[in-house]
Amino acid sequence: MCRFVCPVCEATGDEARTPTFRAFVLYRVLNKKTEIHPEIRRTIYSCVLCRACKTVCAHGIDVSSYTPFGRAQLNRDGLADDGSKRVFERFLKSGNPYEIEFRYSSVIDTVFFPGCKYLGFYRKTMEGGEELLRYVGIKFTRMEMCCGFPLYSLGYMEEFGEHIKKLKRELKKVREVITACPTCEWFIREFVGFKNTRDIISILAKSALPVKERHTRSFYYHDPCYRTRFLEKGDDIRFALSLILENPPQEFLFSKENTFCCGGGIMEFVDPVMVREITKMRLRELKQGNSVITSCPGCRKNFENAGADVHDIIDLFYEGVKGGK
Amino acid sequence: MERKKLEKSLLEEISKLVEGKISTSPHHLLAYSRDLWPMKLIEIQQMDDKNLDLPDAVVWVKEVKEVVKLLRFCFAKEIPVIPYGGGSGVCGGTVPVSGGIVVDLKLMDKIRNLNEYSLLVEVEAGANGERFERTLNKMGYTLGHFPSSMYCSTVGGWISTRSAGQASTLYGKIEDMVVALEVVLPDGSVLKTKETPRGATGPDIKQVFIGSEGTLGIITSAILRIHPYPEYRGFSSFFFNDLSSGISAIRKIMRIGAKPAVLRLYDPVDTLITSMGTGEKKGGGFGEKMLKWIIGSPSIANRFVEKIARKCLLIMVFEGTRRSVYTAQDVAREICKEEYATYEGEKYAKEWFEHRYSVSFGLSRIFSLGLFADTMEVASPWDRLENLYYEIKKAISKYALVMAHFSHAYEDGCNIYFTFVGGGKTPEERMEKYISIWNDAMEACLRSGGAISHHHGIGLLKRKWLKDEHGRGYEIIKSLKSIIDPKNIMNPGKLL
Repeated sequence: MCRFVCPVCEATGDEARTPTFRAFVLYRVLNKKTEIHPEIRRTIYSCVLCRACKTVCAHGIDVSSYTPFGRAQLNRDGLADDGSKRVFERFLKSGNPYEIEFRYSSVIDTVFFPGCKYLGFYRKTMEGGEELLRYVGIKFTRMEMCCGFPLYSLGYMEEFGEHIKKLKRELKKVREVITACPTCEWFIREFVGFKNTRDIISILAKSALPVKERHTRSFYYHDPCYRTRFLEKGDDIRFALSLILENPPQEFLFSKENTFCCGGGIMEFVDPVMVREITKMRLRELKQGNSVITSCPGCRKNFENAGADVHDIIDLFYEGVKGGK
Repeated sequence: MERKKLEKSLLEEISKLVEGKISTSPHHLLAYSRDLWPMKLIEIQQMDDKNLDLPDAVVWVKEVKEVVKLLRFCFAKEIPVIPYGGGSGVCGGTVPVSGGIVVDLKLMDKIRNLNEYSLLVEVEAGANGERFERTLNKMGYTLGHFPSSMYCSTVGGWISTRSAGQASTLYGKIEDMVVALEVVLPDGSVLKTKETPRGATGPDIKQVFIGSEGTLGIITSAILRIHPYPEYRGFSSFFFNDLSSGISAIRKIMRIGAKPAVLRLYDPVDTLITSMGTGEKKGGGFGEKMLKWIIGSPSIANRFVEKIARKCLLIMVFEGTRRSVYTAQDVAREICKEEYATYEGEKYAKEWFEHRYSVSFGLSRIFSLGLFADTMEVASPWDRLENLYYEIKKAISKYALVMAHFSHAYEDGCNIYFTFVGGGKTPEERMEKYISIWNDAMEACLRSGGAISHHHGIGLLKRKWLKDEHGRGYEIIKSLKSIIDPKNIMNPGKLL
């Protein structure tokens, strides 16, 4: 019954990749009731952890919450996917999946936590966001670390636990964390247990920034899963968009808490074809000339990889305030 | 059809035809070995994977030309082909009993054309029902077809099984919605029926394929009638003192033309369970204690529940303009009043509407408790309806707790939808009871002049009674099958 919201199932049309079948396989794998062959492995990796299946399940089953444990079993049995192993090796080397060289700053009261995707791919956006934060009078230092999502989602549970301990130690000295990536915010809140977080968009929206020029183009807004379904933020972003757009953004068929994942943040290493199909599925609604706005660097990357004209809401704020697009 | 394992060389050729979208992994063969037929769920409790009906391969198709090439090849080599949509059927319609190739159509899911002027939409067969309906809603339209399997079934599946949705009393069944069909026939030729509102041009060929359950070809797309999204929705609920007065009221409502979109009259047992809050509206099915209690003695359980259950709940959902809804609601209320019903406001109807797909989640819980459950939908004209109800109820109640509701009403008759829950100490005992229920109830249905299926179809489950259902007509259907599919490659072992 949940297949219509499952991005993997909708993009692949594969009965062996539905949340229900995945649950069946996970049960068998975790209870050692089946031998693991490549297709079983594929089913276990066929989840983008978007939690959409839970939203329509009358029993409230969240397959995505125990999928990482199935992957952990694969890791224990030495059957991890090559892409997953690559992420793990990189993480051990550099503390993140993109081999970014983190710079450490002395931590003050408030830290800005951009997350590895901004640090690795969208530094200009991140620096624009930081400039806007300073503009509204917030004093902060940047904390360059990974939130641990790659380890958790690929089932490296022991290392994830260690990483979370490390994050906890770092955040002990901090009063507030400002995030840019919704996945990071969720992990910091949920696993590190650090609740005093705010995201940059909410801050900018509430700061009465003088917007010189509003964008007049037609945009679709894509809700990131972690922002709407996990952090349960949805409408605040629409208020933020109303400050920088002349016209309200167009809504996708599945939006807000029912948003349809665009491919997830880490599965590109494991199954890039599946991720691309999912992103294409999401983009099918767009008419020619339409652009997408999002508020998650992972979503932005997926849309870019699929050839869409995608904009980060932080960039739009920056352009609106500073003038010039 | 005799089961032969497909040679590797044939599978390699098929792979080329579908650009590599093929799998022979045990994992896929298992995933495509069944639909949601409860008997298969009992079998799974009974057997290991090795005894399941597995296909030789699963292929995914994206375009009509792939289906054409595939069927042309399978026809030449006499390879069984089983079309597959959402796999949500409850009669075993997609179980690959002769092996062969399962053709998954879910990648063919595009809306090809929306003709807003004529209120028509052309959609591919693999489109998921809920996504399709939501897309139409966003554009201001509705198809008006809402089967309980809405979240997981496909347009092609609806047409192949001749399905009915919950709002069928107003919008009609799938056969009323189909204006034209595109079907790839077993020999690979493509049949496209003409897109006209009606024609007096001999028998309606598209109707031959609606309900053919994949035995005559692969439906690849359809042109369907749509409606402007309703401006207003009204809800009404009533309690009747007994079943007869409830049936009388819905008959009169249909006769006078005050058609609700949804009309459901629950028998006393179903009313009791629904209004207790443990019924389908809560999504959980029955209370666990009650379920366990009936395992041992269904006859006593049925008699006991009948003693405490008297009233019958009727819920109606009206759709249209605000004015037309108010008028129809007033007329219906007057009729119910004439039958001494008490008006219960919106409550029960609204609750049902909010949880209208939850019933499909309930079954898994029942099976996890080591019980079994199934549904049976039969239909007859009004004058034979009550007799049909009592005969089938009597047949089932020896083995299981049984309840029913009356829905999908017409001017001339109505569907009765039975739900039964049974138990047994072992999977073998449960299987025996399950088979006995269907045997006795189908015999009772035929004796009472009812249709053995109103909208679930035939599949494997009811095929042995199809000859008695159609009489001479059965031979005609068989002849059609042998003309269209002389090598019997399409979904062998089903329907006929």
